[in-house]
Amino acid sequence: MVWGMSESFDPHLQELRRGTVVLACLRLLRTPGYGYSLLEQLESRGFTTDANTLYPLLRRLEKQGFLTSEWNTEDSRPRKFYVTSADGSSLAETLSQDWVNLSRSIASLTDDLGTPEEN
Amino acid sequence: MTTTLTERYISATTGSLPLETQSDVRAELEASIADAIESRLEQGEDPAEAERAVLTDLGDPVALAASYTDRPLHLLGPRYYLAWWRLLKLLLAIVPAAAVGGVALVQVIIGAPAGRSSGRRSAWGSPPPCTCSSG
Repeated sequence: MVWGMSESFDPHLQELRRGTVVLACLRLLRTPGYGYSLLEQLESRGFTTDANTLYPLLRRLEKQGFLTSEWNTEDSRPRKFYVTSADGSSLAETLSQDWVNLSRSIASLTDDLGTPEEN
Repeated sequence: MTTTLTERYISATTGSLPLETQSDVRAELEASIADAIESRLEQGEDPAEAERAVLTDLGDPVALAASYTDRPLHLLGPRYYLAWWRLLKLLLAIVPAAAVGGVALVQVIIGAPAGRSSGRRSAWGSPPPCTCSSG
């Protein structure tokens, strides 16, 4: 029974987490990073993401101007390094603020005494 | 050996991308896949298995290409679905009736000449008159 339940929760959890990967990328890429290194960093920090989601996402964020990229050919294999741009930083700031507001709102829903109207 | 499977995977992915992004995506994927395989090898995996596992994780190359280009994997999004559904229902009401009407009309038009020609054909059943006059 518990099994069936947690499976039906999965799509909702995925939906809720989708946007957090963008925020995590923008924060982590304040120091330059390449695809696979970022995948591992995300994993170790609890933002487990599929490679086939992350790699296209990085290019999309670059296209939108929130990341900039540069090829590094000095290492053993050439890698594309991404860095958060100024626009990316302010997007991250806005998303973080929204996250704080949302978690406050959710806390008020969870807490019975949170909403004065309900008394 | 090991490069061919990866190369084929990358070609299958980049083939449908816009030309200007193909080489960049190719080079980036090459590095990402090599990095992922390398990390599996460090954990003592067999090279062929590691490569296969990494590519399997990346999934269907066509789906990967679609997410690179923001191309949806469906013909009709929610934006046009209702309009399409209404149009389909309308056409389902009109088209069969129009087709039946059209076929009936054509039957009527070709019906008369067909009757005449069949009458002529029955006349040709007897020997033609010219054969008689020449003989």
